[in-house]
Amino acid sequence: MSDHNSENNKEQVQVFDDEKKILLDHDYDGIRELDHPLPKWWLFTFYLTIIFSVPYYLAHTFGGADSIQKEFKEEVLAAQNSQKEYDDEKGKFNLEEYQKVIAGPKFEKIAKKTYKRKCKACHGKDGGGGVGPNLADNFWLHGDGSLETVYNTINKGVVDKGMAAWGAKLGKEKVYAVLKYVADFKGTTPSNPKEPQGKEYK
Amino acid sequence: MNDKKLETFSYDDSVVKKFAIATVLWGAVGMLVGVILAAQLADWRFNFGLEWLTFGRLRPLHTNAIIFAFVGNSIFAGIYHSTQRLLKARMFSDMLSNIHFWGWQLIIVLAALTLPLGYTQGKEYAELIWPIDILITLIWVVFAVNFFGTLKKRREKHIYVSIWFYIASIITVALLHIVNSISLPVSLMKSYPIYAGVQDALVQWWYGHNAVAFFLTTPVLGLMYYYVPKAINRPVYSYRLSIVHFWSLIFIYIWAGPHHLLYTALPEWAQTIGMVFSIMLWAPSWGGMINGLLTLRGAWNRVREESILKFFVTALTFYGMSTFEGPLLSIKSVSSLGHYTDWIVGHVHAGGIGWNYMFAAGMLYYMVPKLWKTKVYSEQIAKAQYWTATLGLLLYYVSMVVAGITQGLMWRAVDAKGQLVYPSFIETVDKIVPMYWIRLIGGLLVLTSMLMMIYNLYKSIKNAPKNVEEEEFQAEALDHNKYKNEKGHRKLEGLTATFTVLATIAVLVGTIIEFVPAFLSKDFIEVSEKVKPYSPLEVAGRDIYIREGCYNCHSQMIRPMVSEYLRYGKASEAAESVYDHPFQWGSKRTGPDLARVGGKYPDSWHYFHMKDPRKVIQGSIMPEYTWLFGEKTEYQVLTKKLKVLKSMGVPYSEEEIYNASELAKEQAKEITLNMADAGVPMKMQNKQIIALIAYLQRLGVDMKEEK
Ligand code: HEC
Ligand code: HEC
Repeated sequence: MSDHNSENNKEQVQVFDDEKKILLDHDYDGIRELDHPLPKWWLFTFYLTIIFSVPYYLAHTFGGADSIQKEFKEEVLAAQNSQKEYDDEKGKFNLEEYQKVIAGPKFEKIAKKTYKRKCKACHGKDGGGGVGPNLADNFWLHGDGSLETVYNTINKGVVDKGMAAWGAKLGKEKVYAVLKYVADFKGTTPSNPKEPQGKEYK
Repeated sequence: MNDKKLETFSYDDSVVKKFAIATVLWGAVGMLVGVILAAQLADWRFNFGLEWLTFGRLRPLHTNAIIFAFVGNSIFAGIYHSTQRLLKARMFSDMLSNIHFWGWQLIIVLAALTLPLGYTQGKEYAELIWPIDILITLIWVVFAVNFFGTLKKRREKHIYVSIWFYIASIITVALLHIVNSISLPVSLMKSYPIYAGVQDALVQWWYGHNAVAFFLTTPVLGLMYYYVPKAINRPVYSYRLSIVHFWSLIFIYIWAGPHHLLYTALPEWAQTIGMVFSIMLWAPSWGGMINGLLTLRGAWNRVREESILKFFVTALTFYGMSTFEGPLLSIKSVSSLGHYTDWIVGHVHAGGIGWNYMFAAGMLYYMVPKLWKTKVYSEQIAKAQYWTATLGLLLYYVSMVVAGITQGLMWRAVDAKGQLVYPSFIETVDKIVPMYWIRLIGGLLVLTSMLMMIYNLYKSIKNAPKNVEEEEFQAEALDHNKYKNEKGHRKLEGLTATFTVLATIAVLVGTIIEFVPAFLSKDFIEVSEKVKPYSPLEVAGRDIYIREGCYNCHSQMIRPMVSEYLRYGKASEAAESVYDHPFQWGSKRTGPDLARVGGKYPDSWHYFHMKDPRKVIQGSIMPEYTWLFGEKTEYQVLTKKLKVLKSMGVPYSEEEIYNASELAKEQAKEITLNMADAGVPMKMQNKQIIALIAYLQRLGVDMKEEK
């Protein structure tokens, strides 16, 4: 049988001289406690967070300070304005730009890669269609098959039908490249063509 | 003076030993599951094509195993060990101790069986189904009775700060678990939570946040106050600091839950509460770290030699780091960047590995030799374990913070044209996959370190002398009359019932102030007539979504931020999830938000995407869900499900309920017909994939258009 405290505490708790006067008489299984005051910097930090928080809360909940919703509305408006500006000026099909892109040195590689990665899954590897329509025939759901209308479809997409607005995703150069790639399907015979959709344009 | 009556008693260490062994075994299991998950995000094929191992089903097993099995068993080991010694009393009942131990292990085994099979409640960290929830409640009550019974028969008048923390934890965890788990059963394995949408979100994150607080933090702080001064043999730095930081910590912690819901459809006043209370939590949290680290005064040279101290010092440092990062992440603008990203994953692992695992390791190295009357087998292995774990943790944390911030910045980048710079989501995933590989290495190192500890402890125990007799101790019986003239907090420390009541009040204040408006005020959620309940087939699909744990990778909450508006559409509103039992807002976007995915693609897109995501999206890391194409939709239970939902306020007509299964079959037929063009055969109409597509196509469509 042993006295209670002897189980773990063969050695005495080590107390420095300057601590002796703040050593409390508490003893729990040999654990002692000092009575140091709260560290000043700690207390200061605590007060600071409170001093920040209370007015912040009041201002945001009752004082009409900028709210998440208000900021959101402003941001959306700003984005919409820049979109509009961009659409009006630079977003349109421009034949000269198009020709410059398709005459460029890396054009073929870009066109092929973009089509394979972004379009093939829905339009087939040779444009024969799948989830999306056949792009090699003379039937079009949107526009008349002219460069400009096909460009518009690719650029803006048919979002609610699953065809994304590729302009925003790819940028104009890649859209031109892939446009040429699609235009070149015309007259070819895909291996597994989907039945025609839309109106025929000769 | 001399007629002291000495009582003789002994401690029940056998239950402590059991909990200690369970700690390391479950710890290794939990970490192994974590490593598999990490591998799956680096390369999806690590689910080996097995539905039970897919990310959505396995991740809840990892989180539950680490929190409740690993850390759970470690705090029980520590509490049973230290409480008896701090109170100079054997546990109230050896039988209750044993029921607690075996009951808890049973819960863990049940969790490990049900979660991979897809039996889940669909609420994060509270996934376990209702029968297991009831079992948890019962076992917790057993624990509480055993603990408070021991308090009653203590031989030490005053309770030490460790005990304060244990009391607060036991009470609060019970409260959290019960309030959050209330649900109405449909069958033995399935139930719907009584809360829906924004209310469910508020309750869930009050729970989720405070599970971190009162399961992973406060009990461990209690353990810290016992094992750190014990291991160093130095007096605790400041008793006053203990008092102030204990009360401020438990009072403030409970309020901070809504910081998980910043920028969501939760009313802004509640979000702001979450933010400011998190900021005020910083100093109280650090109080524990300061008291621990300053206790080391004069002993720092020993940290270089002794592994136990290395583990403790590192644990306290990471505790301090995480409790600084937490308030930082709760600032609205920081949250807008970090939320839904891997930064949060890094944050919790700094806590989970840095604080909980490191502390448990130090505690076990202290406790095991004492319990088994032996020596640690190899100080060398302990040291190697420490460095392996630390390196693993650093790789883990740094890779996740880099991944999180990188992806967060990519998601929000909007250019001068007012358009997203990275409109395709997968591009932002591709970019961080290398970080996922680094994280995997980090995780492997941490797991390895755990195995080293298991080996080391196993060898230590094997070398222990057999048949050691239970040691006996003597102490005076407690005479309450001796302490009549005390004042202030010291007096309170002698009045355990009053202390418990005050601690309970401290955690109830924040709870009540946050909950009452949410449940009583009509303005809390603007109801919209446009939002209709899910059709029966959509309910079936939703339950598949929950079963597969899609919420582990997908959110359903578009935040009011311009980049989200451009990527996903109109910001989500509270009215849109009023019928969501449980809510599925999610907390992590490994894949894109799905709140408005309805109508975004044709039905056939989802059909092919779910079968093989990489056929549709190159480089996707989403699992294949091939079994949904073989298993049949359960139409028969739909009537029962609708009935239960109706009883919770979802307005279904009697006719709908009665005809639920017919209605569902009709809708399934229609969807399948729709996909005939794409080559989907009609024989698929009764398969689960069709129900899931019905649900996905419904998401967000009720309030899609601008006002
Ligand atoms: C997710 C599947 C999908 C992908 C990927 C896809 N499309 Fe489409 N696409 C469609 C669908 C569906 C339609 C038909 C929309 C409709 O029904 O109005 C379509 C229509 C079109 C049309 C108009 C056809 C017509 O008849 O008017 C063009 C041109 C087109 N896509 C080009 C492309 C290009 C170029 C790409 C790659 C950059 C691409 N698509 C990628 C699904 C897709
Ligand atoms: C491991 C994480 C993970 C899990 C689990 C997961 N997904 Fe995904 N999901 C992704 C990723 C990554 C993407 C983006 C790439 C892609 O489209 O495949 C994605 C994309 C999607 C999309 C397309 C969204 C869009 O707007 O393009 C849908 C729909 C989807 N997932 C549904 C589900 C459903 C339903 C489940 C559960 C059965 C699920 N996911 C489980 C990771 C996951």
